[in-house]
Amino acid sequence: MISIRHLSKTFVNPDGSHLDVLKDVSCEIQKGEVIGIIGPSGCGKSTLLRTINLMTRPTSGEILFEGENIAAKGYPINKLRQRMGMVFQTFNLFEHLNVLENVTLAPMKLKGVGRAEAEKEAMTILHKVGMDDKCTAMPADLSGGQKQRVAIARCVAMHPDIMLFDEPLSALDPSMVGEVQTVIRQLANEGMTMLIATHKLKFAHDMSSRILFMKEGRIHEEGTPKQIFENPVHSATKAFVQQIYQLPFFIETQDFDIVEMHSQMLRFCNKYNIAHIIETAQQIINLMVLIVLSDYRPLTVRLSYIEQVERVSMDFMIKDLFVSPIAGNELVQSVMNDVRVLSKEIIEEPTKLGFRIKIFLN
Amino acid sequence: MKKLYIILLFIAIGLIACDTDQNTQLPDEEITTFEDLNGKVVGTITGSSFEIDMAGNSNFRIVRQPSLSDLIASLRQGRIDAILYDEVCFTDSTLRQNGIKMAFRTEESYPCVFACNKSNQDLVNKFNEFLAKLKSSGELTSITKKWQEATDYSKVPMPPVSDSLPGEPLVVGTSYTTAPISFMIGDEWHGFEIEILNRFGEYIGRPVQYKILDFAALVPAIQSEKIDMAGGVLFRTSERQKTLALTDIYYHSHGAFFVRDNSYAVSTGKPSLSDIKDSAQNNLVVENRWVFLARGLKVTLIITLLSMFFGSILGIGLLAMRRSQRLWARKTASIYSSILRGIPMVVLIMILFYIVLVGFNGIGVAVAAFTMTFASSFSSTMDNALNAVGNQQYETGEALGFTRVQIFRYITGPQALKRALPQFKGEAVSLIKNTSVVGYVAIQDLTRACDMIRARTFEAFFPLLFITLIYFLLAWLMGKFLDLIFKIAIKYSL
Repeated sequence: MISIRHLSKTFVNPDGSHLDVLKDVSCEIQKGEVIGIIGPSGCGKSTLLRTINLMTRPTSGEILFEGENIAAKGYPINKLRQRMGMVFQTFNLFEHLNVLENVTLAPMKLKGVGRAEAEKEAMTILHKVGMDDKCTAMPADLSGGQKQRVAIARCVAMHPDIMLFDEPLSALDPSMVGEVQTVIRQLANEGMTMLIATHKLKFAHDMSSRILFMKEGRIHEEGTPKQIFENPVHSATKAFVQQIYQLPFFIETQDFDIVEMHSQMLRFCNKYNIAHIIETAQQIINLMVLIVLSDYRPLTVRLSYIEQVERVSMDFMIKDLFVSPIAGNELVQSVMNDVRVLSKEIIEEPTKLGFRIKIFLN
Repeated sequence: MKKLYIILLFIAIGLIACDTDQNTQLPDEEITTFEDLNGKVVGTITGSSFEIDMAGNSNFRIVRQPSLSDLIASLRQGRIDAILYDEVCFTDSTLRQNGIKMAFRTEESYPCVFACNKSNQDLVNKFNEFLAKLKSSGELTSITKKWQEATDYSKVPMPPVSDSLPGEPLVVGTSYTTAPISFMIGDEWHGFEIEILNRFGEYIGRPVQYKILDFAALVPAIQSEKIDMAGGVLFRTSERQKTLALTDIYYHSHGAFFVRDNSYAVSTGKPSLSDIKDSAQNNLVVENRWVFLARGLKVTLIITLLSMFFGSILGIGLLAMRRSQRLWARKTASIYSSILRGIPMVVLIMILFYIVLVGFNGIGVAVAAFTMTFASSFSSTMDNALNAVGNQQYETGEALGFTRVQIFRYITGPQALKRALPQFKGEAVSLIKNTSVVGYVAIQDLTRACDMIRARTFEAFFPLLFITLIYFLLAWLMGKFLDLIFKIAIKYSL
């Protein structure tokens, strides 16, 4: 449907210096595809999205939409944009219009649809995104998730051929991510062609049929989510998708500060929006450090969070030990049973340096 | 609540006016000679021959005021000690009514003439011809006598004016809205000078139209051919002879000094509450003086509303230029605004009236001037409001496929309008108030109507308080009106 050929964009700063945001980007978008664009901040994913509906004009290159180069001078951009919906990070609902009017404005004014018909259709779409009961509310009275759902409905009402999502979840409270994600997934299931620029790796992984990994203005690697996340070819891709956040503790003696440890864990979990596992994590730490492994010092404990799959795990490493410390007395066994109930999976393995117990919390 | 505030406000003004009684003036030393004026303050009309003649004297200080009614009010309140003015303008009844008396005459007599543009020598010749006839038949003497001896000017019979004169109107500018020279009773012009001019009009077959101008504005008005003739006890001086074509002398005036007459008990112009009814009667009802106010109000409203209407249209154009992608358009708009910001309203109106829009009448010029300034403030207010609405709303409209104009019309415009409303109210109110300067170009607006009433009644307090009230109500109504307009505009923007 869309083929992008040798697209480049250079911004000229006021001081005269140049910034190459897109460098010779080429890719094909087929009808019905859901393409996730990921990459570090400043890699050009938003710019790529904005060039496709010409909100940003490319410096060079072609964008073919149904065979026509839309980047050429004189192409009717407004007509084109009516066929490309765009959802913004900051929702951008029209502040002076209520929910229903936000959805009906464009069809009525741009497509000449009558008010009654436009409202009827808008209500159907609002029902789909679960906002029909709020149709007379003003944007200022809505939560972020509700605003984003209305913004999506506003695009859908124009029956676009493709929808561009520019960080649709990034301005949302964690508690509201789910509702918006559901709406986007629903659209994907209906066969809408979508381009989603996002830094939420899990979201891109779950939603996309294809992933573009961008780095420094180029498409560094592309492939199915499975390829990109599990068998990336390039090391840069691997480093990006397997982002692991870690919190290590080094316990040398018996009288270490367990309270300080708990509070550090709490801060870590809040930072990465995984506060829901904190209780389990603290229980397991207590059982493992104070009972099961109480005799083993020094002991290295590491809390890890892998973002793209949202997995939380804990490593317990005992140096220079090559047999399992668990296979011991009955007390240890019964406590380990408790740990098994709390966790999802436990792996015990000897390594070159010592013995490691890996506990997956989810 | 609001009503309560308004009532309290006016009670407060009334109390201040009544309680600070200024009848505590020291008794005046008697002034009977030029020497008695030593160290005193003498008031006279701006631009008059008296002012010029007395400029060199070191006996007293001269203050200039625009009209006789201002001079009289100042004299009564003790701001000045004497008025230097034409003797002819005061009869015994006027003097008594105002509690003033003549101290002494000046030695010189001043020849009074009418003035025309230099290029209009024809008109001067015709007038001289007419005047010669009037003199030889003795009519001039009898007219002069009739007006000088009258005790109630409103009863002096005026010769009928035929309303079917074929010629083009003869436009005469006069600064005197003072009996017995020239004054209005309702719609009709009366007075010594008016009678002569009406007869002259009859003589040359042209109907006469009168325009009230400040004395200082008469000469420029002739030079820019805004008026055909200037009157109002204009003295023949050598300077005027150089720049204007002057007629023969129709009257010899004497200057005189007028001072307070303490033998009459006259209020100081700040009446007690019980006098207010009398004042209302005198200032509004007698001679149908309220008609001036009604007509002035109409003119003020016409100028305000037309200026707002055209100003908004021009303002939208300016706004488009300000937000244009073309540099020259943005530059032009910003130069326009900064020039207009720097010109005082009065100066702008006079420039338009005397230099740029010479063919236009006063109201047209006033509307043009206020349209220009309103457009400038309209565009800058909307520009700021649009900036406050922000780029994201614009971008969203763009992404949906709206054009620039559609985005303004449906998305950013209505939001900007909402934000700009309070500032618009302020600008509309200041527009109403600013229209009070249009008197400078011979338009009888509300303020000028008040001046005209004061010229007949020589009262300051009541007419001024009354138009304050009217302006206040106008401003309040304007706020309500704009609320309504904006509501409708935003509702129908969809």
